[in-house]
Amino acid sequence: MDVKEIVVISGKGGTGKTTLTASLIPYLENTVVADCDVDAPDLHILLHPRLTRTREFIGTKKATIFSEKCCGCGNCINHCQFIAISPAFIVNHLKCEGCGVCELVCPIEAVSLHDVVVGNIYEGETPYGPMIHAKLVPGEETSGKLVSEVRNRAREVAIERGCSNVLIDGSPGIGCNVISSITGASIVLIVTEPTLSGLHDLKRVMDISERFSGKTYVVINKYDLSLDLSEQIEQESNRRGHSVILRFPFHKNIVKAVTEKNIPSLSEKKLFEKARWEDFLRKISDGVKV
Amino acid sequence: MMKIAVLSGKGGTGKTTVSNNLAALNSDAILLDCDVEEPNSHIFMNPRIKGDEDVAKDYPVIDEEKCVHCGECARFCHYNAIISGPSATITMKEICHSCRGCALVCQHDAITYKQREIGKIYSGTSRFGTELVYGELKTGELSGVPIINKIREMTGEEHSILIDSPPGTACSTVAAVEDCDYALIVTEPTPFGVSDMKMVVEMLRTMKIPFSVIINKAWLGDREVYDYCREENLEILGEIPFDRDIAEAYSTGKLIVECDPKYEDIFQSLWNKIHFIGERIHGC
Amino acid sequence: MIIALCSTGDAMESPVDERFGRAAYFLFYNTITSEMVSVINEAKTAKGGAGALAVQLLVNNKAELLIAPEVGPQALDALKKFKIPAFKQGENTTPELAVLAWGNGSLEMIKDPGNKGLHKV
Repeated sequence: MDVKEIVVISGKGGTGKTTLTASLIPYLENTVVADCDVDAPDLHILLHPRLTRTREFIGTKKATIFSEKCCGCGNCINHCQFIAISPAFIVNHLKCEGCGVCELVCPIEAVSLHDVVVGNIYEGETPYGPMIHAKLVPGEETSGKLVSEVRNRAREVAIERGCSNVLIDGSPGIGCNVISSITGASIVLIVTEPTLSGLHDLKRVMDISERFSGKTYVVINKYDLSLDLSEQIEQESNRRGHSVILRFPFHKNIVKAVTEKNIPSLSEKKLFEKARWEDFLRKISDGVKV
Repeated sequence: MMKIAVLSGKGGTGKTTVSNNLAALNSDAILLDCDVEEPNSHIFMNPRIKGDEDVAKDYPVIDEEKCVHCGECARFCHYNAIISGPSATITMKEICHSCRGCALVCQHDAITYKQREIGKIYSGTSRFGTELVYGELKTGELSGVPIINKIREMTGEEHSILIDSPPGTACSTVAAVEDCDYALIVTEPTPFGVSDMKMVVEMLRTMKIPFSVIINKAWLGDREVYDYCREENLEILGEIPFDRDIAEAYSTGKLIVECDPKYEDIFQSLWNKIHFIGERIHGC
Repeated sequence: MIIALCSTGDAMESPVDERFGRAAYFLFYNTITSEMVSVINEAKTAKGGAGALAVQLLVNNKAELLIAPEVGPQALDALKKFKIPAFKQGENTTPELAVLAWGNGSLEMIKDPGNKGLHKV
């Protein structure tokens, strides 16, 4: 069966990705939700999943030098491209990328590579369906792999449970996390805000979504903070052939809903109705069908 | 002089606001924008660019004349960036981490390296007189870490350095805050702010970097972040109130210190406190 | 000729796998001897570069043709360099049916990558 993936990203952080993702979930049927913002996962705070399974994810290898064996020749230090080995032959695990070169050049087998847990993956149930999320061990480098793993697992669960959609909360930026979360997805929703930084970051993240995935839609959050910049965002989106499918005003009640750990689209129904939430939902479901 | 990283777990809490306002008030400091995926400091600092520099990364190239397709390189590569068969050996430059291990295992001297550009670094003087260095990752590239490392190599010891870090706690954040004397976590009083901040606290503790907290958009959310700071014994160095006027000025690329003189005092006292702490901890 | 197939199990009657790089098994079916070798796909759990690793597995097992659901751009480039043509398994539910369909010429060749990957489009 064909599983459609809808990914919410933003370029700039703090524009309302997670708030939008959480608000969408109650309105999407047959959907598995996946939080791929693995170094700042927040969706579970609003969705309160009941965890059914937790497991560690081994995402990389790291080198260790056994000081009692080390002859101090310095080959490893000289060959390490990541400057991860100190003059005292201690490997900085935050810098080591597990390439294995130190092990290769060590004349006396004083180096070994070992598996490293880079994060935990959580599976659970929410009132709106299954949820997968993960938490990166702070400082780990392989967050893109953890993102792929969460996404793959969400697809598997969708197939097992006969769900037709996976809704993904992505991360800010344009790097490996983001590329891993959107590659090959059916729909990318970019949540932006009418600020110069928002517009700047939007252009960069649109480059990415155009290149790695299917249809791109734009959501302008807090659009009333600057009508002028909202207009510029609209023009830029249209110029690139992407439609702006939701304009949401700034309102303290949204912050209040999040602070009370409620799903804003459920606790602030009136605000959402006013912002033409139904139209937005229809455009998404039309987009999924195509 | 002091190297100070400004970071936050959650995006959009106000890292750039804090680092840029501090930099605008202290023109002898240098501001490094290490959020190379989405750099924003240049929007507020509006620098006159004096120079730019390409940042490149190595990738392996197979010499078809010399290669015997023994497969040693493909077996070695921990990233699966080389595929070897009886008649061809191919490398995949996007997956390559540039460790140079494949050339070391090649017995036939068939691997050399070429460079490809992954981004750029710009430097210039801002409209406040402060020097700004910022990097920009090319769209489609996976990791900005080499750019961040290079930005950080470009400055000496004689100035105070302010680093605008990437959000989150992944490798690029580690690269940006490494070797810093002090860190400022900018957070907001919402459950998301608290949750993401906890991961940053854990990261900074592992890295043994002293830090304190700045609460932005104060009074907008609830008290959870204050409770957390008290329980964990974290110092709250300052609060920036939420103000719709600020948000609107921010949207057009203005700094808070330009909007209202009272914020000048807030940021100047913040700067003084940081340096007072710096003297206490490091004697710098 | 040796045909590589993506399968969820180790038999020609197992359901086909809907993924290439992360297929559970690869089956190598020899059309001359009718022998089949099944290999667990190590790339399934690879921490990245799964498509590339799967191509390596095909090369190691001397596959001359691939029948797959779809192939990513990097893997497709690699397959072309190793001169392994790829065909869409389409609606066929088992590797056995896919081989039969290939035999009577009803499979479509994969010319374009199924999803956009790391390559420029």
